[in-house]
Amino acid sequence: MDDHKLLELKGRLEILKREAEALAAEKDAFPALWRNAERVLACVRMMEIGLGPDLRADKEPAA
Amino acid sequence: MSGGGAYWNPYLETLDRERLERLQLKKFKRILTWAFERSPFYRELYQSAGLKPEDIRTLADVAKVPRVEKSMLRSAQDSPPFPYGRLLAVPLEEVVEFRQTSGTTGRPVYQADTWADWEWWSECWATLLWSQGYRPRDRVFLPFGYHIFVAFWAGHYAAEKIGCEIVPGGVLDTAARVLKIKEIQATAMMGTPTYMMNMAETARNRIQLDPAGLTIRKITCAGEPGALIPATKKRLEAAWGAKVFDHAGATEIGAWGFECARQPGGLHVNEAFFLVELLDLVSDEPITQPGQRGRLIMTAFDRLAQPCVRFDSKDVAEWADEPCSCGRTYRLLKGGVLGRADDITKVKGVLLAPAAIEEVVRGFEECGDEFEVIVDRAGETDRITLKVELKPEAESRKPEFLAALKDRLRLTTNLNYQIETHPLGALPRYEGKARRFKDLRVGH
Repeated sequence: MDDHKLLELKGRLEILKREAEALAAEKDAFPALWRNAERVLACVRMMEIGLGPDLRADKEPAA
Repeated sequence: MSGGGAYWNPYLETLDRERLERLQLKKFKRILTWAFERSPFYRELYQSAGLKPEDIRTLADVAKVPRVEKSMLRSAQDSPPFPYGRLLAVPLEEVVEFRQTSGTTGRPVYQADTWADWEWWSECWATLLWSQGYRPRDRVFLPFGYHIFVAFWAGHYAAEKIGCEIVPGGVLDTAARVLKIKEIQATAMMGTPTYMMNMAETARNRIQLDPAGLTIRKITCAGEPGALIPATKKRLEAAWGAKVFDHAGATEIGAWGFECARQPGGLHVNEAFFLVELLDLVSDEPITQPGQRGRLIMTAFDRLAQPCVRFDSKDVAEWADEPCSCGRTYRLLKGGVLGRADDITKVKGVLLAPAAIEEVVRGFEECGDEFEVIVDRAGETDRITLKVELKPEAESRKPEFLAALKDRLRLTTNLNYQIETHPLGALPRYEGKARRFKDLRVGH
């Protein structure tokens, strides 16, 4: 997969994570949202693992 | 308390009745359309009745929809795709969970669930466990054999969803389970009332442990009505030093009813997830007022792989006359499930519900925890034999006990019994659903 596609997927995942974190913050008001959002975040974590860390910085600098 | 108040879902659980009924109508129409369009079984059923989903415009119209019974589900599973047959409403490759009914009343019904259905199961259970006080700090012990029956699988995943710590007590024997509870200081557990009783007895008699001295403070019962039979609940709570709560559900339907932490003497119907209709046992007319018993007809609004639309559960219940003080707007069934339409039988011309016998027997402290009822014929007459266990300390007052037991049974059920006493521990013990009522008459 090229870097461009990878970056696009990571961007989408970041949006999903931010929204899930916002729902998970409803800890005191709405347990059903909080706990289901925690499960979504566990899946987000698996997707993050699946897409791997950002390796671009590890590339050799261009000569 | 960490996270949230009394309600798992404060929005749905406190919707005013008008909005709740609008939600129910919308959800009913949606699942009816889904079943009509996706499940060959439902489509044929509705087409042969001349019913189209758009015919349903009000909740009163729901009565136009044909009911289904377990035998119809079984027959529908004779056709492909194996093993779910014409009930299936999703492609087979979307099914991720197989379970089946116990087969107590005949060949089992196979139950398909997608991953979303499985999440739905745990959401329904999370509603009830949260209402009973389960919170992320609980350590929940599950003393059941994880197998092909739904049983407490969804309880496992719901407790996990809540954030509790789960201890699966699968293949351990009863004594080992009690010792594990002691070792890891579990705070809650789930089981049939019969097995909870059996575990307490094993703790006392086999390993000399007082279960009330352990750390269990909440027990969720399911599978049998015992946890809402007052004498049984009292025994269980005393034995474990814990609050005991009831829950009602079924493989084909889902987890539809629960007793909340206020213990209102009945079951809340989870009305945002299920439509529960109460119909007169004879006329089939809807019962909306308290004080009249009827059979429960169930619809699961959100279950997709194998929809459950107007399923005759054969459970008998009645509406409560007072709302629960917990603040939920979900209606209450007084005393929970009072019996099954096919368990309530005529003996000597009198209607007999086995739960009534349980309430009497468990109310006598001279009796052990188990009992058995056998109905047969003596010549031309029906005969009921009640087998009870007599505690050793009650042996000296056996004649007075027997007279009092016979008297109480007659007053409660209007029937006479032949009573056999057995030593403590002599009657069968059960890990799952107990089979204490045996009708040996021809045709029963």
